[in-house]
Order: sequence, then C-alpha cells, then structure tokens
Amino acid sequence: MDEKIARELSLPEGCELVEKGSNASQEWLNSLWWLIRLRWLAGVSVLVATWGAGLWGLNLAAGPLYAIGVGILGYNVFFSRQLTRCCRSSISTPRAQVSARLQITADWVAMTLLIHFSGGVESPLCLYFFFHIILAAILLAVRDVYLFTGLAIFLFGGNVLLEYAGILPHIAIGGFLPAPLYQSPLYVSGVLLFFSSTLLVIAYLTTRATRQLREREAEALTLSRDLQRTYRRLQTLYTSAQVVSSTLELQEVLDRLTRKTVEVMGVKACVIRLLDKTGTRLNTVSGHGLSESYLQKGVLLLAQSLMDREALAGEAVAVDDVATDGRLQYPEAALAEGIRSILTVSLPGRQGPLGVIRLYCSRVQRFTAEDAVFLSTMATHGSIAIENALAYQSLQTLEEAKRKFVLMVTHELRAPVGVVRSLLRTLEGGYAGHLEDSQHDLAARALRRADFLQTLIDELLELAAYKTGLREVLAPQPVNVNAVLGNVVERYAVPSAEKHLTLNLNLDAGAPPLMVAATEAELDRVFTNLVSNAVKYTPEGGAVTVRLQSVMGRAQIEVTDSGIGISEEALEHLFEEFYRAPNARAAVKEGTGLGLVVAKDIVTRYGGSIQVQSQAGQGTTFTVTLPILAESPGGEAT
Amino acid sequence: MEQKRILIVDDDDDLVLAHRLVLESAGYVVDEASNGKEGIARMQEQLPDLVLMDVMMANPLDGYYTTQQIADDPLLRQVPILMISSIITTQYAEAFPTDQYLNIVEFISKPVAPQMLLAKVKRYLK
Repeated sequence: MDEKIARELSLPEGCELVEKGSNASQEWLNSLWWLIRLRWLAGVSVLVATWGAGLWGLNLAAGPLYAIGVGILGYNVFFSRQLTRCCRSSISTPRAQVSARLQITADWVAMTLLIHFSGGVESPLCLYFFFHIILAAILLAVRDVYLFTGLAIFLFGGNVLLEYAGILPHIAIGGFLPAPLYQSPLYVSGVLLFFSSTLLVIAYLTTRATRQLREREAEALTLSRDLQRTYRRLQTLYTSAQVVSSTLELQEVLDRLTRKTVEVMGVKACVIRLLDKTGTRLNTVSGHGLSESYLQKGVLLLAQSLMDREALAGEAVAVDDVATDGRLQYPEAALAEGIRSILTVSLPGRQGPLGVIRLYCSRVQRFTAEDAVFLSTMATHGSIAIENALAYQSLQTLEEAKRKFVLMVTHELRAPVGVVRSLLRTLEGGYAGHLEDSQHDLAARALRRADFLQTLIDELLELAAYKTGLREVLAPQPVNVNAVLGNVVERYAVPSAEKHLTLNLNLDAGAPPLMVAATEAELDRVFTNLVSNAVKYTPEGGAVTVRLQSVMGRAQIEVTDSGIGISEEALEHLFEEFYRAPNARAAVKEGTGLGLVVAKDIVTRYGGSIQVQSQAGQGTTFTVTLPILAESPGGEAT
Repeated sequence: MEQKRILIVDDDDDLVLAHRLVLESAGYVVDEASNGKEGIARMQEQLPDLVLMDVMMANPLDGYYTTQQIADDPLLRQVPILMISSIITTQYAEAFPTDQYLNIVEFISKPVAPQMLLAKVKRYLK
C-alpha cells in the first residue's frame, strides 16, 4: 500500500527524498568517483616524483616510470568516462561494480609495475598497497576484498621471487640502498612474510569496520524510508482533513471524505454509513466506487451485522475474505460486487459513534493493522467535520424556524391590528354614521392606541429582523430618493392638514432625480420615521419642511420642523433604543423610542449618516446623507 | 349622473366593511367579493367602474392571478384596478406581470386612511 500511496501522490520534495533513499548505491557511487579523483593525483604524483628523484640525484629507470604514470592517467580517463555514461543513463549498480573491480585490478597491475621498476623487494612503494586494500574494502564486498588481497600478495611475491631467481631483471634505484638486498634470502622472506600478514590483517580489520558501517547505513536507510512514509501519510491526512473540513454542507463533507479516503488508501471503494435516530440501523449517506444497486441493496440492521456491531464498539474490523467471514449481513451482494476484503472502523462522535466508515478491496487479506490505524485517524478527522456540518445544519434549521416565527408574527399580529385601525378610522371619521362627542372621543382614543400598537410591532420587527440577522439582506438597488420622499410626504398630507400644519417638500426642480443604493422599503421607513416625528411633535399651526439637495456627491435630506425641539441632554441619548425625550413624552403619550434607532441602523448600513440639530422650543432639523449613485444604466429605476 | 360602482375584492370581511362604509358615505355603489374567482364573476355580471383588490388573499397568489385573468379579457381589462397590499411599499409592483393590458393604476399599502382612499378613488374614476 505504501508504494501505492507513493505512486498516487505527487509530493515533489518527498519523491526526491525517497528516490535518493531507495537507491542505496548512491553513496557507493560517490566513493567510486572519489577513487577516480584520487587516481588523477596518483598518476600526476608518479610523474612528479620520478622527475623530482632525478633532480635529487637518484638513478631511476625514469622511462618506464613515466610510462606507468601516463598509463595510470590514461586508464583513469577511460574509467571516468565510463562512469559518467553509466550515471547519465539509469544507474546500473552491477555495471558499476564490474567497473570498480576492473579499476582495482588495473591499479594492482600498475602498483606491481611501479614496485618492479623502483627496486622490487627493496622498493618503499610496496607500502602503498596498504591504502589500496582500504580502498578495496570501501568499494567491494568482503569476499572480493580477500580475493584482491590474495592477488596483491601473488603479484608482489611473484615479482620478488622472480627477481630473486634472476628470471626477471632487478632494477634498483641507484644510490637508494648501500648494498642490494633482493637476493638476500632472509630479507626477501622477511619482507614477504610481513607484507602478506600486514595486508591480510588490514583486509580483515577494514572489511569488519566497513561491514558494520554498511549495516548502520542500511538501518538508517530503512528508518528514513519509514520516516518518509509517515511524513507522506501525515501530509495526506492533513490535506484530506483540510479538504473535508473546508465546507459545512453535510453531503459535501461526506462525499469528500469517501472520495479522499479511496484516493489516499488506494482501495476499490469507500462508504460512510450513519446511525439513524433509533440507533438500530445504518443508513448509507455517501459512497465512492460502488454501484448504485449495491449501495441500495437493503436496510442494514445493526442486529444482523456483527461486523458493524464490533466496529461501533470501537474496534477496527478487518474482513480478510468476504466468502468465508460470517460477520456480513449481505455477503452474496458483496461478492457479486467484486468485493473480497473489507475494513470497517467507527466514526467517533463527541457523544458516541456517529456511524461507520468502510473500505472495500477486490483482493483477499488486503488490510493490515497499519491500514486500520490510518483509517481510524481519517475517521477521527472526518467525524469532526461531520459533527460540524451536523451542527451547522441544525443551526440552519433553527434559523429557518426563527425566520418563520418572524413571518408569522408579521402576518398574524400585524394584519389584525391593521384591520382594527381601518375599522376605528371608519368609525371615528363618521363614515358609519354621526358620533356624539363622547363617542368620538372614545373612538379617537382607541384609534391612537391601535396606531401605537402598529408602530410598535413594525419597529420591533424591523429591529429584531436586523439585530438577529433574520431578515434576508436585500442587495442594494438604485432607489429614486425624490420618489420616496414624494410618497412619504403624500402619506402625511392628511395628518398634517388635520393638525393645520404646513407640510412642504422642496426638491431641486430642474435637476434629475437623485439615485442612491439602498432598498426602497428601508428608505421609506427612514423618512416616514422622520416626517411622522416632525408632524407628531409640532404644535398646531406649525410647519414641516422636507428638503432634498445634492451636496458634494451625497444626497442630503433635511427634515425641519418648528416643533417642541430637543434639549441638549436628550440629544445625547436620542439614538438609544427605547429612549424618549422627556418633553416628547409629555407632548405625546404614545411613542416606542425605536424609530430613530431603526432609521440610524438603515442609513448607516447604506454608507450614510444621520445628524440632528435642535434647540428646545425652537424646532428640530434631522439631516440624512447618502452617497449618490453614479449614472444608473437604464434610466429611472423603481 | 349615474352612481359609480366599485368592486372590493378582499378576503377580510372586516376590512371590506370599513372600506364599504367609507365609499358608501361618499355616494359610491359598492360590490364585494371574497376571492379572485368570485371577483371575476361579479365583474362579468356587472362591470364596475373601479376594482379595489387585495394583493395577498388566503391564497397568496390569488391577487396576482386574478389581475392576469382580468388582463386576458378585453372587456374586463378596461376597468382600472387599485391594488392594496399589506407590504409597506410598492416592491410588489415589480413582481407583477408587465402585461400591456394590465390596468393596475396604483399600489397602495394597508391600512388605508379613509380620506386617502376617497382621494385615490376619486382620482382614478375620472
């Protein structure tokens, strides 16, 4: 499964690391390159040393020695090219190993020739073989190291013995030794004995050390692979948890969870079944990778599915072979769907399991203990997302209930009050026959109370709707302020006439209507509040003036009255909920103290402002400003 | 001059009563219907000079469908319709069909003050 994950996921950094780690020979190849670099030095050293020894006054066989130096450099060119080619194509370890053996063989021959031309048994260069053994131990297997040690002893010993016997000529370094030793039996046998034993001891010690080193290396490699795999899984888990929790829609959360699990675990299919309210059956809520007919195969009763009972008890349940395991409720259907092994874990909720998440595979014995742990972790993350989505869903239901309540109140409470007002007005207006003064007075009092009730209901609804976010916030539209003001003023024509008030509307006659972004209903409410206050708190014979003008890109609406005014103290509290100025309270009994709060709320939401200027006894001016819309396409709206 | 006839289509009989009293006091002849279907029947029986129609009756779309049916009839659509809604503004107007034969003269919101009602009726009866 790990390889599967590695294949299915594309995590660039991770891949690179695994690539490196999976190729154990990388380190070894580096050593081979290092050997080639050393050899350049060795070749040049031979040439330089030969030349230097000549200067020193030693009598050398310079020709052959130069030839050997050039030879070393020559074959090094060949090997380095070979290795470059080898690396450029796919790294082939066996070929590189053959190359390593060839290189060491060539070195052995070159060493033997160097020793021969620098005095044979008398040559100090024989010590260099020690380094060669160490290099061989780094590069080659143990058996090969002993083979090459044997070869070195054979070559060196053969040369020494052949010179001793006079079969090969002895080429001494003139002036190096006081007397020739190559034919001294004691010296020759001593050198051979110590040379061979030293070489063997070095071979033993270095192979032992490098073997341990290689074991450690292999362990480190395994560990780093494990680490890689864990990292990869964590990464996957993290990204899938993110994907799954990035939505609050329940169905979307479930579908993403099954899809992601199939991708990450590389299995045939994944299904989520949630417990129903009774806790006795599991309903399929999301499936990925299975046929519709399988998903609809029938009701899954907890009582008949041992597999699910065990899973809900908190264990991971692996069914190794559907055909032989007796814990399924519908084994035939599963076999027909091509399912052979199943892994089930519970989805742990805050208060008991929510249901199960199940993986399906078409092979038998597919799932390991490690898979179970991984799926459990996925399930834990998934459960959090599912619970969040469930909570969100119930919150939405609650919102919906609140919305319905507000609508109900609007209609059920507002409508009858409206009818009462109409009836009372009809009565009070004398349309149902003439009323005596006392009767008229009673009708008028009842009407005032009904009017107040209507205002209170409207304003409470308005305030509640926005405070709780119950009202759908309508997208602002271009609203014709002139038209809205016209409507409001028209509605108050009769009430102001009854109070003998002059109600004026001053619009900039020549200019086109001013358009602002808002909703008509809300602007109507704002200006209705201001105009109704003005009419209400202005004594008989006074004047109310509504003025609209364009001031620095803003529509400025002034509602001025010659009413009772507002004291400085009261001005501070004017826009507080349920606040009513003492003089207003004295003048008019009914009043909600909500109208200005609502007005300010609306104006502020559309980027405007509301201000008040007043002097007690002199009158009041409310000034509303709203940003003017740029030329609206399609001419006059609303 | 012959008395003008006004048809009130509204399912709230208290409201119908109030409007009837106001209109009758001004000398109009008032006819009434409690739903759209009945309203059309009344119109066919005797063509009124004006119709006062509630937008939202028991069936929320009743007012809407009724105006459309009226617009489909070449005789009935000559009668001006004054729509009365419980919604404070004329937002409803936008939801209404913009049929060229639709003879809705204005939307006014409930509750309608008696003097205002008389003023509107007078305006559209000319």
